[in-house]
Amino acid sequence: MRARLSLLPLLLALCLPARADIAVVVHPGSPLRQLSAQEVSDLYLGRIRAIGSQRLQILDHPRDSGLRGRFFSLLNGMDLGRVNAYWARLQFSGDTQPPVPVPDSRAVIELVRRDPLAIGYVEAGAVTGAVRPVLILKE
Amino acid sequence: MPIPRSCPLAAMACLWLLLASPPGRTEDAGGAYAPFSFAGYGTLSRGWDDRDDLAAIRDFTQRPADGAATGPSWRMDSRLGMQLAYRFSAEATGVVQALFRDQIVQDFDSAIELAYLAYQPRADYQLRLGRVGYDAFLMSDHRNLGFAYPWVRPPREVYSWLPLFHLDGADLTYTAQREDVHWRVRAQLGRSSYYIPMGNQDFHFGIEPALSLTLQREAGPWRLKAGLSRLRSVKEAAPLARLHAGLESLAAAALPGVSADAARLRRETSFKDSDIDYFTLGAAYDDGTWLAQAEFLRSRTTTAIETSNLSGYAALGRRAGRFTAYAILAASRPDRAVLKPAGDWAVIGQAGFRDVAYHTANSTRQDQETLSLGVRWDMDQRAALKLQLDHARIHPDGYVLWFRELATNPRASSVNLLTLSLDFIF
Repeated sequence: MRARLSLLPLLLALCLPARADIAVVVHPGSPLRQLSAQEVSDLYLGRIRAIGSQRLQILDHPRDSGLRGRFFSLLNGMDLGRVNAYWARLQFSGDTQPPVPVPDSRAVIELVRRDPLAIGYVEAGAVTGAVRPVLILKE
Repeated sequence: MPIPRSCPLAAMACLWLLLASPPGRTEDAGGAYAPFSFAGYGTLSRGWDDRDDLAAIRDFTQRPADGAATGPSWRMDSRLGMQLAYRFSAEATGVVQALFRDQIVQDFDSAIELAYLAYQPRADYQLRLGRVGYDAFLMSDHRNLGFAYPWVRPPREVYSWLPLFHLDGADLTYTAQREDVHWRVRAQLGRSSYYIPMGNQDFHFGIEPALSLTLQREAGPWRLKAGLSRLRSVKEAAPLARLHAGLESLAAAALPGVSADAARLRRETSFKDSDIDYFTLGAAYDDGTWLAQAEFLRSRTTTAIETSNLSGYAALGRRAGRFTAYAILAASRPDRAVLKPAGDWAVIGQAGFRDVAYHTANSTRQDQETLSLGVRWDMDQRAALKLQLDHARIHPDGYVLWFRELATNPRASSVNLLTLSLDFIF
C-alpha cells in the first residue's frame, strides 16, 4: 500500500501538465478543439493566418522573453535569434506584420478570454478556466 | 499604362481617413491591442579594399566619396531603417518605413522605403496600395536588412544593378496551403524612379510601368521562388544629352561608314522607352544547422547601355552555436558582346568622339565573379557581427559594379574587399 501511495505523485506528474510545459490557448467558445505543432508553427511563422475558415488574432510575448524562447524551441526547434531574423524579413519587407506582442501570460489569458478569435501561449501552470488549451508543448 | 503620380503618402492619407472607422470586429477585445508599433533595423559597417583605382558600390545609387580612389569607407553598407505600423482593424494595416543609407540624392522621397496600406479581407488574399517593396528576387524586398541574412550584403553580381527597391502602385497576394506546402502568388504594378551617378552628374532614372509576378513555395526548410518582371525605362539620361546630340548630327550627315555607326550608337545608348526583363529562379534551405541559397537571374534589355546579363550565385553555410561560417560563389556574364567600331571616324577627325561614345555604350557591362568567405556571430537575439572577405575578378569591359579609372576598363584585374559589419534590429 505504501509503495502504491508513493507512486501517486509520479502518476500525477505524468498526467497533468508540468509547470515548465507551455499551453497554446484559445477562447472557450472557439470551435478549435486541438491543434498540431505544425499548425501552430505555421501560425507563429506567419505562413497561415487561419485554421480552416477560422481566422485568428495571434498573440506573442515580447521579442526577448524567456517564455518566447522556450516556446519556439519546443514548437519547431528554432532559437530566438533565428526567429527574430525570420520575422525581421517578413516585417521590414512589408510582407506581413508580426503577431501582437503582449507583456506576459496574464495579459495573454485576459485577451484570449475577451477575444473569440485570439490565440496565445502561456505557461501550462497559468492556464485557467477562462481559456481552452489546444496544444501542450512538453518541456 | 499611366500610373497615378500622386505621392504614396497622400494616397495613404486618403485611405487612412476611409479606414479610420472601419466596420471592424466587435470581438477585437475592446481595442485592447495597441494600434501602433514601432521597430527598426540598421547596419554599421566598414570596408577596406586593396586597390586605389577601384571602389566598390553596394548598389547603383551610390557614388564613392572620392571616386575610384575611395579607401576604407563607412558609407557603402551602413544604414538605418525605422518603421511605424498602424493597425486599423484585423483586416487593415498601414506601414511607413524610412531608410537612411548612402545614395547620391538624399531627400524625403528617397528616404521613404515603404508607405502602404494593406487590406486583407480574407486570410488568403492581401491587397497593398502605396509604396511597396519590389518583390521579384529572393532578397529584393529586404536587401537592406542585413540582420535577416547571414552574409554582409546580397551578392553584388545579382543585386547591385537591380534598378528597383520599391514601387509606387499596388500589389495583390494570394496564399494557399496544400498539405505542408505553402504557396504564394503576388502580382505587382507600379512605377519608380531613382538617381544614378553618371560621371559627375546625376541621372534621374524612371521606370513606368513596372510589372512583376512571383510564385513562391515554402515547405519545411525549403523556400523556392520564381519571378518575372518587365520594366519600361521612360527617361532619357540628361548627362548624355551632348553625346546624343553629336551622334544624331553625325547620323543625319550621310557620311559613309560613320553615319550608320553613329545611328547605332545613338540607339544603343538610349535609356528612354527601352524595356528591361528579369527572369529569376531562387532556392533557399535552412534546417537550423545547414543553410544554402542559390539564385539564377537572366536580364534582357533592348539597348546595350542597360546591362543585360546571366548572373547567379550559390551560398553554403553552417551554424555552430552562435557562429555561422559561410561561402558564396557569384558570377555575372554579359549577354552581349562588346560593341566595336564599324567605321573609320578618323577620316572626319572624330576618332576621340567615337571612343567616348563606344566607352559609354559599353560602360554598363557586368563581367565578373566573386568568392566570398565570412563568419556571422550572433552576439545576442537582436544583433550580429559579421566579417566577410570578397575576392572579385573582373574581366575587360565588365566593371559596372566599380567606380574605376578609365585605364582600368580594357584589362582584367582582381580586388580584395574586407568588410566588418554590425547588423541589428530594435
